[in-house]
Amino acid sequence: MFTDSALLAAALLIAGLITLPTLCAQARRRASRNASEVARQLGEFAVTVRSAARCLPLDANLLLRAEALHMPEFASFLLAQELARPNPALLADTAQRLALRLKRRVAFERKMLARTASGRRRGALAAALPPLVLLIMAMAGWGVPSGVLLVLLLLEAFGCWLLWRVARVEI
Amino acid sequence: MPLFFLATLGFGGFSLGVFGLRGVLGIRAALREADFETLSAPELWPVTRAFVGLCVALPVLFAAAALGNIAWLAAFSAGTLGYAMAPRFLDSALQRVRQQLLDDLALHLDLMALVMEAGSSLTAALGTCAERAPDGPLRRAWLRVVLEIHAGAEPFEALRALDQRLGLRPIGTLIAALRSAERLGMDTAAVLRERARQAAAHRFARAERQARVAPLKLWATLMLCIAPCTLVLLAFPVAKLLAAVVDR
Repeated sequence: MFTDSALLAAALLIAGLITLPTLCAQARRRASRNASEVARQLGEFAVTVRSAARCLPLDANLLLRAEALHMPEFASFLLAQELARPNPALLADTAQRLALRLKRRVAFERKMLARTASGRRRGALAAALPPLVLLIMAMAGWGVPSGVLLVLLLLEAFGCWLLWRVARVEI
Repeated sequence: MPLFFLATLGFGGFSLGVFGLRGVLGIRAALREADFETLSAPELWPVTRAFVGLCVALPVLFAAAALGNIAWLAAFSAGTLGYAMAPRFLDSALQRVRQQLLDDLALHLDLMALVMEAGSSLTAALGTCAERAPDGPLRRAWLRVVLEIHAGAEPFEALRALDQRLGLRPIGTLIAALRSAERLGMDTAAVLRERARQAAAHRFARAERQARVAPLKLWATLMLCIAPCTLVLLAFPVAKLLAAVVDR
């Protein structure tokens, strides 16, 4: 009974571990879409400020979306908005620079996702094999000692963590 | 005799724990404050290494307790390994902090350039950077520079002290460029902006290098961690079949 439940728990845990890199990649793809949209709007904001020749406030919705990206470079844009002597050209330049950096980051992120897609897919397939083999062996009446199960689980967890870590390059 | 031996061992372990912990905390503080100069010869370093060895040896001793005297031998070997590996741990921690510092440099220089383009002085730019930049070793390093300036040091003297503490080439060349710009009456903000651009380019180049080797690393992970799991599992029925054949 214990072995059955341990087997089931191990299979479920491994399934969770396998989906982790894929879920992370999906989240990064979504964040990258958001970042691309924010970059576009920041570029438009820069053009508006330059043509108006005065410091305009950033749209509240855009501000929230930009803050949600947790981009450290956003600090310089906030500083440009809060300068004691407002300078429209400086604000426009800062917004433009931030937009460019965001676009560059998005491009890199997409390239990285594309570059690691096949590796992640291969990893997920290979990681899905042990639980399948485990289940087939359990059905055939070949039990695996819990110690071996634990070692397998740890090795799979380490492998999936490495897959996630290697596929994630911070920029 | 065993009581005396145990008491001596306990006292030695306690002393090692106290002084070793002091050494570890000192290293941690130096890493936090980006004081790399101190880390070239950390305070209480031999004791700290011995403490690391003890931290590695104790779990081994408890885990192998059932083996009797062999447990002591295993613990001693693990402790020696911990002692020998401690400089490697320190080096890798140092390398990580240095990398983080260089990664943060572009953003910090951007902030400083922005403040100077708005017409403020270098001291004000340093202050704003220490105040507004995201937390990290570089921000804490600027904070120390600002405190030294407030205490009466010349800005460039404080920056030179920072350069000595960090010992990083990009920071050294930045300070030299700032000093030259000041001496020649050039626009310091432009120098900062250019350096920020260079630092960002370096960061992108490093990320690109990492990205290029990522597929290979993924392949290695697959081969070393994930694929062996299936092989180990498949080995079980094969071993059982072989055992049955041999028994017959």
